[in-house]
Amino acid sequence: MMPRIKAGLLLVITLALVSCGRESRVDWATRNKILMVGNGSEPKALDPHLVSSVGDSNILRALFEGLVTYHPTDDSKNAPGVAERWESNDDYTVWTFYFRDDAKWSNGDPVTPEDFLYAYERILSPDMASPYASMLYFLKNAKAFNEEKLSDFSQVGVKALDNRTLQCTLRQPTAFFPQVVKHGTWYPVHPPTIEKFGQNDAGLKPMTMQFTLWQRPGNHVSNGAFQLKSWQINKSVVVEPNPYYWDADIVKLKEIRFFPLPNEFTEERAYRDGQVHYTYTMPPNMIDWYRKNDPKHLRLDPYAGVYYYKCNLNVPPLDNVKVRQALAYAIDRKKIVENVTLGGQAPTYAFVPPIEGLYASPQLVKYDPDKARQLLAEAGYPGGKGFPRIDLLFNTQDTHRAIAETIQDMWKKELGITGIGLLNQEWKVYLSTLHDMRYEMARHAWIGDYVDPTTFLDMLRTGDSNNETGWSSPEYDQLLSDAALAPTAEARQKILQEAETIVMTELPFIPIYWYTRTTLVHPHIQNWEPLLLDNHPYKHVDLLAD
Amino acid sequence: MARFIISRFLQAILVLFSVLTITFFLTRLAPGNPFQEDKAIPKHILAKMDAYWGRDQPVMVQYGKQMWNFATLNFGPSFGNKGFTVNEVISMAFPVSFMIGLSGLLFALAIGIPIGILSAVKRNTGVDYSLMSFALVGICLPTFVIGPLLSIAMIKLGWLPALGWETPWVNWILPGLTLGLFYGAYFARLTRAGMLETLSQDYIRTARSKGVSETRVVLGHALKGGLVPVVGFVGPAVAALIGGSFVMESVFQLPGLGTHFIRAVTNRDTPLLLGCVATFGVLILITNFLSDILLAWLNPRHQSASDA
Repeated sequence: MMPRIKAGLLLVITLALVSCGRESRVDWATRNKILMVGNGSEPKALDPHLVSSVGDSNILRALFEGLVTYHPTDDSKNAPGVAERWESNDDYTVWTFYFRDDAKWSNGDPVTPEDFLYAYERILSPDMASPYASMLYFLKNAKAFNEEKLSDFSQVGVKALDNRTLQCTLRQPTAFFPQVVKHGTWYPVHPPTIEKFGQNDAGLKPMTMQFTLWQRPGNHVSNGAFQLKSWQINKSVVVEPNPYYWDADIVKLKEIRFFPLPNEFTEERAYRDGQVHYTYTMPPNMIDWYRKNDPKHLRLDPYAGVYYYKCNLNVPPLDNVKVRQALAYAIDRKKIVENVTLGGQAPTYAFVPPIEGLYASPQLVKYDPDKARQLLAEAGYPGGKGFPRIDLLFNTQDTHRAIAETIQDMWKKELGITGIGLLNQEWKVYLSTLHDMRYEMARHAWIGDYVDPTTFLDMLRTGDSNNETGWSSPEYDQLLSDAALAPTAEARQKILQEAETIVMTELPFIPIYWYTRTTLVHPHIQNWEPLLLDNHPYKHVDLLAD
Repeated sequence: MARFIISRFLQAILVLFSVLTITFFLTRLAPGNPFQEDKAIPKHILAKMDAYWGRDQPVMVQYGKQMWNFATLNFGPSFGNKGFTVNEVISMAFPVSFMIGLSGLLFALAIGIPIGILSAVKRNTGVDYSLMSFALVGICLPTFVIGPLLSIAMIKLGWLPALGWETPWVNWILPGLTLGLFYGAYFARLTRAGMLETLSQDYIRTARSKGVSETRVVLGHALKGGLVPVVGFVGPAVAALIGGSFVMESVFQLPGLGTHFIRAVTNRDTPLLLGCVATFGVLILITNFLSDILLAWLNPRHQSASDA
């Protein structure tokens, strides 16, 4: 028996020693300059032309660089990327980008305007079926090409003037065009790599093959500050510095590891166990705990996103503007952000989130239950009498349900409406119900793609694929077109405010709150400033132990 | 025995075929397009995607292709993990699930069988009652409660990583233990019941009367018969253990098969879903088959019954 007891004792002592001496994962990672990032779901792809989610673009931002790139402290500013400078003609319809000499792919090839042409043709090719091709509709004829109404790519408004200059001709004046080309859909791809791995027996064009091995570690060629080191599904995507990157000297991290951590509770535990430096999100009910006990880890940053309810205007009584107004005025948004969402969100009385120095939205949709009751009576439903049953659609998730229940209750108490049903659907079912307009009212959210109010306002244009309400206003469409031609930024802001006033009077969308990015950020992370789009350029990020 | 094996094999093929057929048509009946996203994808793009992945063909043609893929053990590309084939996705995830499941099984046996034996030997004493109450607690506490509790305890104690698969040589312990506690509780109760039945048999009384030591009676004579109920349960349990568990993988952040199962359903990733179903189906069939053989060896009466 004695030797067994000794062995047992030895095991306990070893375990205790190991645990005392165990350096946490993040301490080890900081020492080795490895950034450990919690990143939501497993990436769908590492091909800039096949993805559309925030998590996927977080990884692609490390791997690729566009003509213009994100500024580390203020994302309304532009930092030079592949292009060292750019200019436009007087009415902002023709933009010329001048390439730097030392822009290189991760295999050492130079990055050329031809690579960008190839990439733009690829993402816009109908056969590529790229989910986010519409981001390139800024280019003249891009939409027609993408919709197969035009087959000659040379008619799309982009051309290489020489081997260092790219020129974009736009469909309408766009003063903020450099903001737009920062987006991941505008990244180049390495044509020889795409061609090599796109070879197939079916005789299909290699350029538009969706399923190829080019995204694999070892095959993947990119032009950003980092290159792909490994990708293990549901485990991690690891990137390492690209030795050929033109600004490689500034890159301080030796590695970034992106972990798919789709469960926010698991992610929070991973953070507390010292396994990640940064979380993608966090459980709302733990925000208060961190605020009180561990405030230096908690970050609540403004985020360019809006949470709102969509109304289907083809469904009575939602076709009546007074009904929509009554519903909007009866929502006490302050109560919702303080008691339900809990993450420091801002109650919103407008649609477009504030962009400092660029745009301030007119605050119109106040909480005014008296006015709401009056409007509902004028619409023919005094005290909610005779109000038909409508269902409020949301995708299955606790927070969406809690918000919907709260609003259902507010409408009952303030307006006497009892016929509001709650309808939750699983994600993909919800999406098809929403996009096919088979809903009555639905929760939705929109995160901006670039820092400009039009990233929000454009979706309400007549015929925009994200409008999905049946709402259409020629006056509104005209104002948006006028804004593009406005001579000064002030004049433009004024016109856009006018346009937003129309939306917030007609209320096809009923805004609820503006988003906050609620995350846990380890104090070791340096140069991680609050950014409205949350697109941090990793090349500036550093890790320093306390 | 050969007849038994052949008939079992043919049954297995039929079962797999039916399960895959039902799964395929269920996924086609489910509403929602695998390629639709939050920001609406224009209709013409959706149509192109459907065409690229062959979803625009008649359902029976798609079904035939899927079945052919299955017959050739090549499930084709996954819709949800672009750039990976279903075979690759499964072969990356399966070893993880296998390791977790196996460690769970070993923990369960190591915990459950000794407790069961001890309870049976000390039946109706304080020891028995307290061990069996412990087992009852284990059965009642689901893995999604034990798992996070163990994980949080590790954050406080710092003995082991609370979750993750970055350091597999220590990462398997907590999930294995969680599964082990849950299944071990079942094993304990089954072992106790089996042992009690065997210990009351005539041949045990004979052995005792011959003066064989109590330890030898219990471990040498009674245990083989006492384990019959456990083995019957182990078959399906092993399939469930190594087939991957979404809950365990989500709690401990493991890159196993269970997550793919759930994600394939929510993404409407039919090829991956069929791949997971087939893998899981084959596992269940194999483990059930093995447990039948083991049962026959432990209890010859069982063999003649299934041979007939």
